[in-house]
Amino acid sequence: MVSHVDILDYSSCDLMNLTPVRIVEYLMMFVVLFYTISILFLFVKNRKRFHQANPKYSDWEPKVSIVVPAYNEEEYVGRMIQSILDADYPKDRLELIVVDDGSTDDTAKVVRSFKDKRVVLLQKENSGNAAIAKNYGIQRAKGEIIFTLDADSWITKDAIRKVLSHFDDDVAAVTAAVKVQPKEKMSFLENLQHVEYMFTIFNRRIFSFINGVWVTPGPFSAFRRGLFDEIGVFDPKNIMEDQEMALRIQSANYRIASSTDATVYTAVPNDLKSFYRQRLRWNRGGIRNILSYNFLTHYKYGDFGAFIMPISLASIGLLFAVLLIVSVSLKAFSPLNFDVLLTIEPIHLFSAAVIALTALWTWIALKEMDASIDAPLVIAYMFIYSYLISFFTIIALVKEIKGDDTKW
Amino acid sequence: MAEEERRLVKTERGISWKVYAAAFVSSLVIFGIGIWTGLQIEKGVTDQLTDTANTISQSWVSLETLLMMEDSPMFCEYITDQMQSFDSETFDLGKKIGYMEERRGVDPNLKSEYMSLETRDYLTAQKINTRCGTNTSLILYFVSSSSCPACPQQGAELTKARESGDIRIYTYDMDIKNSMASSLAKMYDVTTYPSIVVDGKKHVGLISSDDILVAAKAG
Repeated sequence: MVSHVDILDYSSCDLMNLTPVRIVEYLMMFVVLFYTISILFLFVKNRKRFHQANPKYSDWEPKVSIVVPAYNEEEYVGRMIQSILDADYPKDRLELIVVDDGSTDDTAKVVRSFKDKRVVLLQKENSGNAAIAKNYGIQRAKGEIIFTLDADSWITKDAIRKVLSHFDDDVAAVTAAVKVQPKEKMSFLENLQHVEYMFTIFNRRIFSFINGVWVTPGPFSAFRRGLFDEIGVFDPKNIMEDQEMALRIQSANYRIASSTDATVYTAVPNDLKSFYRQRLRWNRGGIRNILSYNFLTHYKYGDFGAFIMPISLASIGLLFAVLLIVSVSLKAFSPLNFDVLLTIEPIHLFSAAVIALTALWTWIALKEMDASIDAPLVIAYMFIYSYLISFFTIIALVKEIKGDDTKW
Repeated sequence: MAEEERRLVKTERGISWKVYAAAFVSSLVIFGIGIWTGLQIEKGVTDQLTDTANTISQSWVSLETLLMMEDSPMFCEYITDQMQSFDSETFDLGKKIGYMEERRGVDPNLKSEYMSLETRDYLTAQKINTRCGTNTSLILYFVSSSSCPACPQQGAELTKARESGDIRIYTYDMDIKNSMASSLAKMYDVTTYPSIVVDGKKHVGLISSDDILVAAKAG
């Protein structure tokens, strides 16, 4: 008989196959595991106040200005304006500024057709840059709180009040719950983005509990007027100016809150080509911003500096970890002539644990967001869509390294 | 509620150490469970393969009885059938051990046991060649898993050669302590790796599949 006396001693190292590459893989896997569990624990810690606003600001009715940059939006701008005019907010405390950025269609005509003194039309020459148009409107806005809103989006009746109820003395900006606009017939890609947007609302809310929000989404976010006076307006040179603004707010030591029920509906790409272009812009802008604000990776910025920024900087590695999880899972269970047990290594067990925890995370998020989404769609989101967007991020990274031209 | 402007004040930042510590410990626990489970699986697989090796080894007793009847006119027919069955089992075992070794290492005791089985197979095949007039080429392949950069290539060449000819290959990892392997290496004066012995003739260094087939035919 063969003796097994030394098996455990010999295999603890050999089994894990601790080559330098494998050590990196284990480390990345550990980071993903740690990140996922941290999110779940943060949710458990803040579960009771997850959907709660700030009672101190629940009846706050400041003068608000809603700034909307618009370029050739004749099709959507009317729907957006109507949603603002229908909003549950005092008429004398609301102004809507539509900045027509040199549209060549009938955008201005549609805006003028609304005979309401709350609607202000500003026209300027086309700059080809939404940030410049937004800044143009912000400089002329009179509100204490300034919302930015996309022309192809529209809000629910209570969205303004719900956003305002999340302000606090140290809150400089509040993000809304950005959802995919409902349609009679949604494409598969739109449905997947719907799942993603719901998941993002949940995550952003969790990050808001540790002041870890790193983007104030363009479709609908609110800012204090005084903030712009102090740190400036949107950076027109930045391709992800919404994110840059959030990072600037963080660097100025203010808080960004997040609402789960102040709903804004937005249009999303419904073909792969425009989806790819959108994600390329987001990712390339994101990579640039995270790198240029890497100084925020410091414990003096609290959770933002100690958790969010390091994770964001490591996210490129995490992307590879995601791909690794898939590849090792496929490798473990690929058809072989012999037992599956023979092929299993600890790294497969870890990837199974990560997948299980991610599934739990997704399930909790969708449940909290009250999103009734079919299981096959969720599975497609987890196992196809998330890897597709990770793949796009890797392409973006490669293009950034190569310094490819950016034309948006 | 209309009122005066509310002033914006700087936020006080903190770090959720308790959450991160709990998440870190939980991640470590999951890692620990993963390694422990992996080791249990490893032990189970090794036990299973060892049992297979033992079963093959015990079956040799009946084959050895058969070998004592070499004067019988039906000897060659019986022994060839029996050998095919042993070959197939031993080959399957070798494949599993090789796969394990490639991915995560293998218990040296199990590998040594396998090499002993190979030697029995080799000696019997030699006897059958002589007694029954068969022309199966027997190749001893001496490797070192720790210090032989050319061995993976040699392994591939041997696999290619086996597919094209009536060849049996017996692999000996000289990093594993096995008295039979050491005796064979000594018998053919093998000191560097890779080295192959084709039908009793030694070849040192990397040798192509074509050259292996030529040597096998010559043997």
